[in-house]
Amino acid sequence: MRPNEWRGLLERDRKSLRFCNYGRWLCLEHGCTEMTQDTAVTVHDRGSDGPEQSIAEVLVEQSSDALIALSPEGVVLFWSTGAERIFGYPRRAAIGRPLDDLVVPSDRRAEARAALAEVVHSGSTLIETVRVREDGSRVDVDIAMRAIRGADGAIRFVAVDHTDVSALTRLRAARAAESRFRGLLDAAPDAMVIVGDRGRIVLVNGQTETLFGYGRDELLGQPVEILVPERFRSEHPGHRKNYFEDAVPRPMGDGGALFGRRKNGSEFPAEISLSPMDAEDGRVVIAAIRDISERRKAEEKFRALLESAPDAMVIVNARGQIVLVNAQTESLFGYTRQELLGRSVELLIPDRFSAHGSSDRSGYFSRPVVRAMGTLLDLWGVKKDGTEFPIEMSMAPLDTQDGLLVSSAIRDITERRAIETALKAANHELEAFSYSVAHDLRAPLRGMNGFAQLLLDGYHDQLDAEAQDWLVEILSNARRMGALIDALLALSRVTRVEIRREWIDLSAIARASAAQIAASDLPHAALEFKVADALYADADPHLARTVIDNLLGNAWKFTSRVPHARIEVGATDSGDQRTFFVRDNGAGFDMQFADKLFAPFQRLHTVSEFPGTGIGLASVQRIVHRHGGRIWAEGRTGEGATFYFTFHGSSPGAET
Amino acid sequence: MTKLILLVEDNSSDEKLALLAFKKCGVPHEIVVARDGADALDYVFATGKFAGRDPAARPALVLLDLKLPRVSGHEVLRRIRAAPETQVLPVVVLTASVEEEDVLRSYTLGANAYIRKPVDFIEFSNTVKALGTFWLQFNEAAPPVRAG
Repeated sequence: MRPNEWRGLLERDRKSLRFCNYGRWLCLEHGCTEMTQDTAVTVHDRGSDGPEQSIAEVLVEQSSDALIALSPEGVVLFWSTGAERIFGYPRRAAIGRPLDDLVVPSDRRAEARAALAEVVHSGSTLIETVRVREDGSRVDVDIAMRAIRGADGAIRFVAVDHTDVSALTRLRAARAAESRFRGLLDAAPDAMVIVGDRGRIVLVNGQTETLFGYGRDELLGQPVEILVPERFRSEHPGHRKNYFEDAVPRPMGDGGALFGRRKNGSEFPAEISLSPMDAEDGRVVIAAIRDISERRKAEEKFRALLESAPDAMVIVNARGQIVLVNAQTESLFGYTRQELLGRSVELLIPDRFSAHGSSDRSGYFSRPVVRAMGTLLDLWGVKKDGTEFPIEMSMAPLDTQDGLLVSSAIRDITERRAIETALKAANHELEAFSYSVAHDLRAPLRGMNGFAQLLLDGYHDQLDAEAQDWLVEILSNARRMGALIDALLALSRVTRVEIRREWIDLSAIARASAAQIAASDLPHAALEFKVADALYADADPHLARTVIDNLLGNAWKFTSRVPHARIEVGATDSGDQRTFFVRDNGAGFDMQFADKLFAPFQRLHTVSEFPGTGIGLASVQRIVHRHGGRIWAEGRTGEGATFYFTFHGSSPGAET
Repeated sequence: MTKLILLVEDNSSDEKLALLAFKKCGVPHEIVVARDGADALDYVFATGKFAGRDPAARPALVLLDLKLPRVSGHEVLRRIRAAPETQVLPVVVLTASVEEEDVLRSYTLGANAYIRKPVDFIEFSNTVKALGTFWLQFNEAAPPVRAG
């Protein structure tokens, strides 16, 4: 309502001014200048009045402006419903008091007095200023004041119309700020929303329009809650107020899920960071909002992957803090996710290993590659209840935007350990058994052989040639069985003995072995024996000697009928892998039986052709395998054989 | 003077073969057989069922098997070496075992020799002959040690 309409609202009669309120007429007695609330206002119950009065009543009461009448001295004579709403004081509390005391801030007193003086002097004035509400908050107002004079020319009262222009002021401020920051904001990659202290949006950038689907004009001056999903709106002003009171730059929320709401009602997961800025017209907060739908999707995919892993997965940052675990981790270690996140990974490692673990971890961060742990190391985990259990662990680096993380897949190998232990025990028992069997089998054999021999010696005269021949058969069978048992014992010893590796000269071993064989075996018609020099190997010296003894012994044996026998010991190198070989030009073998060569008691020749137990190559293979190496053979019937072997697998140090 | 041999052997076939082999070796001797470790100790120390024996009449040689009932060969050896009057008694281990551990343990406990029983009787006879010749004929026995 504008000041020029004001006059029409006043009902005049000869004696008094009448204002309409709540269906009653308030009458101000004419000429009353020294007024108290009691004396100045007389209430007449006039019942319902004519149509003219109803219009005035409606217009005054429905005006959104604060309509106030003042005495020329500035005392409140009339206080409209609009005034109650804008300033917060009820009519009863306002009337009779100086307006200065009610709504004029101390720094605007002079201005207010000057305005009143101006009205008294010139009849009207307009000012744009600030007033204070009963609750102490400020309100921007346009004030129109006009002196109302009686027929005698004396001022009867001053009509004051306050229009609340706060929203307009903010909008104006926003536009001013916008012009200042626009370029800066639009260059930012995120949606930037600047919010004033009453939660109104004062500035947005282009990214905000794109992200939320609102036009700039639809957002400016609106409460920021317009960008918040409905279900969070009621609590948002509380959070906002708290932030304004204790504003420091920080990410919003406690790591919880934040969402933005678009104009079309759809939502998106958001990451929001807040920072306060104190401008001349008060504090504003800059919110940078980023749509993290894509990242969330990727994270969810990653999480699903993590959950579907059969092992406990623990992801740790460079400081050793757990940042992510899966359900298997919870069930394996007995902690809930909440108990683990943010804690040191040492929580899952027994104390006695902790120091070792942390140095291991920092070592890992300095040179992160995928690797398996616990295959050789003795690793342990500890549950929430303190139980320790053996684990196997493999680690992989994850290069994420939060920095380098390490993911560990942890497997409880309690059961496997138990099986291994049982297997070891069973193996040990079996070895002891086979040893004892082999041992005890010799005793009756001695008896058989011994008494057959005594019979043959002592009763020679009483036995005919056939009986003597049969006794000789008994003797040779007993001897052969003795040899088999000896070979079995040797094989069993090869399996049980501990491997002690050292650098050995296989050339020297081969020469020594050949000399011994040559001394005990029948000599060849002609033998060319060649050993390459400097055949160094990292192997157990005794077992290596057994390998060479067996291979050379075979070579000797199988070349015994060759007119020009050749036996060669050498090595071939490929990469860092050295392969040794023993080659001969003897009887050889058919390659289709190559897989039978190394099986115990398997022979490719009859005993009468070439004597032997069928244990030698089985022992050789066991020795090579126990060193982690490989053995294989190539040959042709009648053209000789070559046996190749290594003392290391592809990964040195692996022992099976 | 006939030398006394204590043969500690639980296998009767082996016992017979050993006796036959010694008979053929040509060295005059007398053999006493103990069929387990406890009997062997009783004989050596003249205790138990050998309590009436003159303890000073010690065997010139003990042939000791390792796998024995009641008291093992190693334990017999340990007790013989622990007693001052028998600590220099010649003890030759005669066994089927070639386990490194058995050999090493026997020597550590003070065995004078370790001989593996061969399956072949001719070989065994030769071994016994060599044994008898060496220990009963050539070897100079230690002077008797008084029990103290």
